[in-house]
Amino acid sequence: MQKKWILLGIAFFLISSLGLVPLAQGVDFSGETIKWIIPFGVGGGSDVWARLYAPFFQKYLPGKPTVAVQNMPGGGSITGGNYFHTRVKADGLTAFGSSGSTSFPYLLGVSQVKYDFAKYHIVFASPTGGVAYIKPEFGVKSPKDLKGFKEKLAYASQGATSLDLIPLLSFEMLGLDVKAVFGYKGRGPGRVAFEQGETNIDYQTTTAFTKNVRPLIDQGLAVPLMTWGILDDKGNVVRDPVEPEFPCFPEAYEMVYGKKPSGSAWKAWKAFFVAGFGVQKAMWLPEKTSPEIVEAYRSAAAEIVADPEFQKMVKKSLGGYPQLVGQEARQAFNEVLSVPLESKQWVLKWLKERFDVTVK
Amino acid sequence: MPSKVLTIRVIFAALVVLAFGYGIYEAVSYMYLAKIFPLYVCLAMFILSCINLVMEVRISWRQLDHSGVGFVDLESKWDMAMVEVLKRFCYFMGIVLVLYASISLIGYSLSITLFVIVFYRFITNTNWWVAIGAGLAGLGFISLISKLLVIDWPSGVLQNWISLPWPLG
Amino acid sequence: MDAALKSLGVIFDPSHFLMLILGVLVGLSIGILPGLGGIVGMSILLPIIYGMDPHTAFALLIGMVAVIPTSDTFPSVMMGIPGSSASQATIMDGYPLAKKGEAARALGAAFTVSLMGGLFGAAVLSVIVPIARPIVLAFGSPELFMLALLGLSMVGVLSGKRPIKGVLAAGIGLMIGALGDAPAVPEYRYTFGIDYLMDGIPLVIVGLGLFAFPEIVDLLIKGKAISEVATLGKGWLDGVKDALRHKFIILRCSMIGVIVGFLPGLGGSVVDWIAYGHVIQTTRDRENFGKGDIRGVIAPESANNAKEGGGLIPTLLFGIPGSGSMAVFLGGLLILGIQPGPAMVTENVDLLYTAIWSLALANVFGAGLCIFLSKPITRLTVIPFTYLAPFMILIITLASYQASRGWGDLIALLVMGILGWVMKQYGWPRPAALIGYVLSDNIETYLFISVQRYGLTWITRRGVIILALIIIASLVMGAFWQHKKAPRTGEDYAE
Repeated sequence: MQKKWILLGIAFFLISSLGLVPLAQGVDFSGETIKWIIPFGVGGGSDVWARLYAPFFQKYLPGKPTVAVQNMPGGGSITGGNYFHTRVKADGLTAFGSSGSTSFPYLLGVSQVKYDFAKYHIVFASPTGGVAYIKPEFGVKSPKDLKGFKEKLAYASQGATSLDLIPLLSFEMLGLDVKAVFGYKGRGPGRVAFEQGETNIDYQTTTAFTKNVRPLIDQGLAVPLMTWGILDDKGNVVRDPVEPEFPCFPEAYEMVYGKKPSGSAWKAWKAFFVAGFGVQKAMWLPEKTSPEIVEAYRSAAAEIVADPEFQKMVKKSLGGYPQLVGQEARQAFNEVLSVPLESKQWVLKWLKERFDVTVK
Repeated sequence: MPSKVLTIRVIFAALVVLAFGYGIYEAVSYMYLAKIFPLYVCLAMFILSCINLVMEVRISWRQLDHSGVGFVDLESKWDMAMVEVLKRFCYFMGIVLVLYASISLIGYSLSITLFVIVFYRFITNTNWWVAIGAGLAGLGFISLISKLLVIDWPSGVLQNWISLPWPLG
Repeated sequence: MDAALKSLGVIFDPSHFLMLILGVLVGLSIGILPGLGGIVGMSILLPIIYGMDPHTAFALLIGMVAVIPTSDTFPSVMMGIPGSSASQATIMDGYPLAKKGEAARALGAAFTVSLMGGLFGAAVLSVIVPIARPIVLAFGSPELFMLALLGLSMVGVLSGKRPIKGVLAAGIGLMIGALGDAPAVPEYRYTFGIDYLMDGIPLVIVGLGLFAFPEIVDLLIKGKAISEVATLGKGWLDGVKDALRHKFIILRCSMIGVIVGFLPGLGGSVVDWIAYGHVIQTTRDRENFGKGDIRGVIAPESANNAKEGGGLIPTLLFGIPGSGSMAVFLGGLLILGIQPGPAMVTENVDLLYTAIWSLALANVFGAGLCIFLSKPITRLTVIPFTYLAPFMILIITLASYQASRGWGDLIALLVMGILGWVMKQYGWPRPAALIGYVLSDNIETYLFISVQRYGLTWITRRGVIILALIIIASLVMGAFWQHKKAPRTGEDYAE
């Protein structure tokens, strides 16, 4: 009797280990469909980002698999992240796309978050830039004029714990008196509010800025101030290459105070800046994915970045920023993962005192 | 006396009162910006729902006529006793619950297909062939949608044990 | 002008034409199935448009988006299920007509009127483009709040003789809408720690749960067919004649449709209720509303097609979607590499006109095809419901699940379904709940922003006062006619 069970067990073991064999042989996804989980709704920024990339992955991943975007909106992207963390198999057939809205709750320690970026393998990351601008009637022409600026400003915000944390913190660090008006549904409505006069200071992502705010500037209805900046390969925040005529935030700070930014506020700013803009969107593979598969994805990403057609697309639709692949992406994202505890606590305290917002 | 007043109608009205009451209670604990709207809405509704409860009780107590509200949507005219309606309601709810249970056990695709087949055979009373045809039509449809929208239908306990071919997996 | 004529030529180019037809077909199939709306259609088409030439892709996308409000009249009339968020109000009179065996008449009127409304919307869109920006900019948050309030005030009209239940139902709707994440802060309300509820309950599930589920159950309980009359009565030609007779209503409601669709953020979700409420408030003889008055079909249907034209304005000119499907359409634009915004009027004006022509043509085809299909489809109202029931259950579970792709969807459907059934049996107006739910976010958000930004001074703004007067006027008119016409008898108005 017992022997039968042992034989059955061995047979079962042999059969299931056979299932692992193809993976060991060389990575080949032919005939497979890769699901790229995007924890946002169809048509949103991250969805568009993934859909623009997907055909290129189809081209460059070994075996030319189909790459399908699987939307999993919910819980402000937390639900999708949790699903990726708990349910996805590490067979290289499912990847995850995160955005700033996914990293922020992670950084702030929102209790519903189960996912952990420290455990996953990053494939590539896409930075974004932002440009801040102000109404002309204040006579401000550059950040220099913000020194001692006393007027009350209003900024259209989605929420203090959204990506708006960065502009709000930036304005505060520059000593501006900005009233955050919460409830707007995104930067699009924010821009409309600026045009309507409901708010008088605003920022837009670089792509939207070029298309929608530059005409306003030409008509004399807006004055550009600064960009947030971009991460260079040494981890410094430097001028945005897409809008090089504007100073980046650390430069603006220096223009106002005469010294470079430092201290807890600055450390917090930098950490959240990287999560929100420097490495805003990223593609991930689950923890237990084999190194061969991770390597296959990363080389595919490297080839994609070198593809001239891709470069054209990035310029047209993704802002024209250099995409980070493999190790560079990992290094950049480490800025997010290694946020010192005191910075996190500083931000939480600031949110509570300034906006009466408690992160649960 | 109790059963004249404790009709489902009145119980539901009472539940509404409780719901808004709970709404107030919960809202108080939220952050300032998050509490204003639910708090004031629930307060106003709580008062109105209490008034409504009193009205409903009076109507039941005096056994007055509830109908005549003017919109078809607001009245269900039954040509059978309410008790019979409720019995049948429970019967159909039971069917739905069985469906849900089976989705969690054998996955959505399989359950719905079987559901259509069984329903057609035993409630619509067609023969087996028509029933199976209908089931397969249903399966075809959900497979199409699954492909088009890149959706995986809920899988059940069965799918965790053995891996079935595409639409049923 | 040249741009307009040039795009007209482009539209009739065979490949674009074909794409338009394809879009229309996709839109029709999606609209017919309850619960699947513009968002689903967009999701299906998005992967296809990658790499397409913008004009062709536009024809496809707009072809689809234009006809969904036309075809989703089918589930509204035939089963009282709001097809997408556009055709909600149609159920109020469309479904009773179907029960009387007059489904074809209701559909005939609806499609004629949808066609006219759609063309009206396209026409307005083409004319208004140059002056659209200042108009949209004039509506700040306080004005949008008042507009949402106007939508909410329609609840009064829908409550029949029991206004208190109507208000309560709206309150229930408002709270269901408040469930989940608060608009501006990381506070998750009434979620009981359930992850699924963090995002609130999706519109699809609320609509299907409150309306589809109770209908299906009731029809099964009754054990007959949808139509309570054995043979189909008046045909679609009668419907068309009805429509033509009420030209003035069509005009007024199309105007309402365009104007409300125009304004970003309100989304066409309330446009049909406002049109429906408006037509009731402005007629003396309102005996039959809710029981099968053809005007109750004409009003919302002309409005909801017109609103698609209006909805393109904020989407294309500001990059702010007018509704859920517009949001996905926006995503489609971004994939095509088009950045909507002020640039559209200068750089991409030919695309704009492609949009307008596509809209007009799609409406023509859509309405035509629907009329053609209405005869066979209305036959479904006379077959015993048990043939349809399992498929209806399949469709509503499927449509609910695709909302956020989790078990939570199915359970929420069940819960809303039971709530809806109880509400139906005991006289709680579900349309009021739906309006409350749909407007909840907007009302809270715009009030919020107004108070934060302006303190209390926003109440004295010109636009706010005008809208307040409109609201009061509509409430008064509604009550006035009611009182005049209906003497209360002691019994059926027990108070």
